[in-house]
Amino acid sequence: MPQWSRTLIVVALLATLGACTRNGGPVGEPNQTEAELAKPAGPPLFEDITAASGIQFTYRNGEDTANHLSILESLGGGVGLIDFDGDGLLDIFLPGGGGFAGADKKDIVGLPCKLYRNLGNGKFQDVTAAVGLDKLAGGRPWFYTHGVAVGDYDRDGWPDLLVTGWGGVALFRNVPVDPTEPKKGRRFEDVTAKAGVDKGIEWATSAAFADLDGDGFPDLYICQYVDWSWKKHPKCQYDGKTDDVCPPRNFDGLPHKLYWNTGHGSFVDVSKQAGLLPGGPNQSKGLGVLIVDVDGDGKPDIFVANDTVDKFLYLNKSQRGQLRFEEVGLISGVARDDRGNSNGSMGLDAGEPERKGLPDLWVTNYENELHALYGNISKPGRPFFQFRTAAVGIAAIGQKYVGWGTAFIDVDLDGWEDLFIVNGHAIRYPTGKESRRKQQPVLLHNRAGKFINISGQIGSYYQTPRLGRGVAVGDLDNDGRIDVVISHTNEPVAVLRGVGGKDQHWLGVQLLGKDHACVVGAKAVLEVAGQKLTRFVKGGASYASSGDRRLIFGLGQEQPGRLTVTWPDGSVQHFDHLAADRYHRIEQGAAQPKP
Amino acid sequence: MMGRAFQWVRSRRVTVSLVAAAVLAAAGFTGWRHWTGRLLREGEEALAGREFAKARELLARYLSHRPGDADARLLAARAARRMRDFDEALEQLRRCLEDGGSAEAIDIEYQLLKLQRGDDAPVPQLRKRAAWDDALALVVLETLIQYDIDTYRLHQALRDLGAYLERRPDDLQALLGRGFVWERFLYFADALGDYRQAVAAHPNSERARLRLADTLLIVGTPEEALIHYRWLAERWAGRIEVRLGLAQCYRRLGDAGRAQELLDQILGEAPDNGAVLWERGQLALDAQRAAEAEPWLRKAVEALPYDRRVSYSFYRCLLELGRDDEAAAVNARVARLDADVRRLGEVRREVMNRPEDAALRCEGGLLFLRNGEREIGIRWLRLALRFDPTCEAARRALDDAGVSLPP
Repeated sequence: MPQWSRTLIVVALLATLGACTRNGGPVGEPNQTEAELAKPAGPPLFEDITAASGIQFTYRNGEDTANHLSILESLGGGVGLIDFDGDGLLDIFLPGGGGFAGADKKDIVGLPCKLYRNLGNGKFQDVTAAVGLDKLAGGRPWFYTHGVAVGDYDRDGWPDLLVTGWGGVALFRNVPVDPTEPKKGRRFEDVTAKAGVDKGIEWATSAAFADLDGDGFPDLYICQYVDWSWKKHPKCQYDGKTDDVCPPRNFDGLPHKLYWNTGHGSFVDVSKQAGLLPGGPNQSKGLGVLIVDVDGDGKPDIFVANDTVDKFLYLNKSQRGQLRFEEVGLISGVARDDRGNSNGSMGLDAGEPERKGLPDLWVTNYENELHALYGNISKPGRPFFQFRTAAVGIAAIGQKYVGWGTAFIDVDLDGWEDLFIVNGHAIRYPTGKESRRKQQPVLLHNRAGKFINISGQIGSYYQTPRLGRGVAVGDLDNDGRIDVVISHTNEPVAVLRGVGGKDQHWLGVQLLGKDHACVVGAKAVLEVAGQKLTRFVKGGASYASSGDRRLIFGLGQEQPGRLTVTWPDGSVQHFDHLAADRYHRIEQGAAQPKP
Repeated sequence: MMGRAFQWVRSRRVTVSLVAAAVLAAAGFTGWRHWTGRLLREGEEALAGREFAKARELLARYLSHRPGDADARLLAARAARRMRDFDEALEQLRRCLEDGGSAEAIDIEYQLLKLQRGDDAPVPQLRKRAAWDDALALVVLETLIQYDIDTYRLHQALRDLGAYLERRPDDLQALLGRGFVWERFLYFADALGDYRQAVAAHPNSERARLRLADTLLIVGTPEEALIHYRWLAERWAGRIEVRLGLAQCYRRLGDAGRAQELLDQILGEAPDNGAVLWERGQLALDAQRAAEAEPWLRKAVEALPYDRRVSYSFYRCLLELGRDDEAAAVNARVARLDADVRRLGEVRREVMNRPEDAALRCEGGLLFLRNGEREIGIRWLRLALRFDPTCEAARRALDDAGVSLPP
């Protein structure tokens, strides 16, 4: 064998030694399989209603204002679904991103966020200014934003809004326009400083609310990314000649933040006391967060998608008034992929794709990496997961995507949770070619625990590659079919109406805690034709986004059997004879659900 | 009368014999020329096809008959150099010079020899020569590419491979070479582009097909990889890497049954193959049979002790079996391998920017050696010594590795 070849083989072996982290390089050339996918094998499962919806909004990352190629530009924005006015229709909040200003274009400035009120029938109205979201407290302009989290932090029964971004977060309390006249509607009040979350944030990405200590008040977890700044803004190239956005390995991970909700309208930063890891060169770099009870002990645990370093699984050991967590990512099997590589992880969700009654954890990763489905085989006190990606057929989609926002979503209401993923490259010129930057979404259909790629059935939205980032899923029109709202970088937001599962039955459940207590960590089990379907109440999930917290059970042609709800405090309630094809509001302790 | 007649007959016999002998001699000479010419041609072809041992043997046979052919001497020197037989290459060059070979060609070949022996002083001159538009420039470029790769100047290797392929767009070795370098940067789209081109231009090349299939599997397109592995299986039915590739495709595509059948078959023939053992263990983990996976993975770790991925699978398996103490010990090993991999990655990136930094070369060499990569480790340590002859750590490590060094 020629020496050259021998050397190259050694080089190739070395490549396998290294973790497949973000070094650039896509594999996104369309191939035959992809082309075939574009031809739908069945009717479209979504209808793109953006044009008629009244939503005309684009998240901007600032690359049109300066050619810095900063890592700040790579993250994009999310989507928040929030029924802010209590009319039963989910409204849509959209972070606006930002840009660069000043003489040297190094002033990082924000662009306005938007709130679109759901008018019904697929129509939305921009109410940003009317509800006070056009500016921050004191008339200050928006900062450079990324994500959104929704939660009723003050337990007044009205969902509040937290917006993340570069240099800080903003917490908005949902208040009546006129306390004496409820009919005058709702507005938002910037309570960031008052609530004590105005300090210590350098670069916040995703956030999630959940009651972590069992006092009913949602506490707050905020992911932070890396310690990039203009002082730490190296030049990076992936092909030896083209300047591009630097990978996260060039920076140290920032410590994430955990805020304990005092119950009196404020939060206390308890990150250190609670046991959160401190960040550093090979730690943190957080992009996504999901809160769900993984080991069935009733306490919601925190799962964090970190970029190019180990993911975190913080096992909840808290007691009332005292947040305590133990990081068990590695030992429980969710920190890395099946080869022991830390991945460039972005989006995440929890679901029950194999119907085992425990929440499996799902993570979207960078290109050249498999997305990860971690099958949950935890026992109380011993969380443990198996890497299921190959076994359930997800590996067949390949590793050419840079996956971001994602969600379990039963697109055809057959009771098996499918997977929706949006994609788009993080760098500007993947292997020197901007054409490889935009990517198509992926829809994986769950056929009794085995996933099949049916992306072509997404409908017309599938046809155009985009720079996808945040995704929020929810039932915008309350028809039981889940709709999808997608944020892209520098391209308009898309609204897709779910049209799958026609003639199939479904059951919707909204779990309400006693006295508006937070119910993240609760679960509902529905018996259907001898099978048990489990759905979990989650905090956070996807990427920088917040979706519908109601639970949907696809029933196929069946009717619902007994519904068993396990509340975070461990109490259990059973409900029989629930009518199909509608939502039921179930309040903890109440004997009967409300319509 | 009789005597005259006899004399006449005898003289004619002599003439005929002489003529016949001359004809025979001419035919023999022509045949000899033709035969030696064929040896030379075949030697040249083997050299062009990078079959250096074959080229060397054919050229040696040719030169035993035509020892004064200076051009052939040069080719023999080149073949010997490419086989790293530098003494033989030097001897052939010396005789080429004696036989009146082209001074420029001999000089270039000598510079190439020096470079291949580790003296990079001729690099600037050779780079200039490589820019010419002739056959010798391609020879120069090939050696420069080798040098780029040996010294981990991978960006330069890409540029040189690009220049080579501009002139010989379908060259199999260059396409495979550039694909490999793309892979090193994790630019799999570009690697796939080169491998696809290699397969298109050389549809019967098993090597090209195997690289394409392997890379398709690496990037996670098992459906397409399967097509190529199947093609290979028809030609290389016994090759383990082909059958392993097939099994990996089946596993990725969710066909665990076929994957298991193949893997069990291979393990029947090669029970200690680490890669196959690892795949078999992972398949058992997929099937949620950790107890079954444990012996496969334990043996895989024994076979591939430096592969952190294998150790990690074993760690996961032990945890799943509840053998936490043993798992912790395996994880400690994984952590050490991880730390080395991480540092090695940093060193490699820095070396691309500072290829002559002796300290980096030394550190990288030690890390390679510690992780079972003896060949490249020794090369890096030698480079460290070349850039800094006082580098004691490199000298000591080479000594420990049993590598003799000039005083």
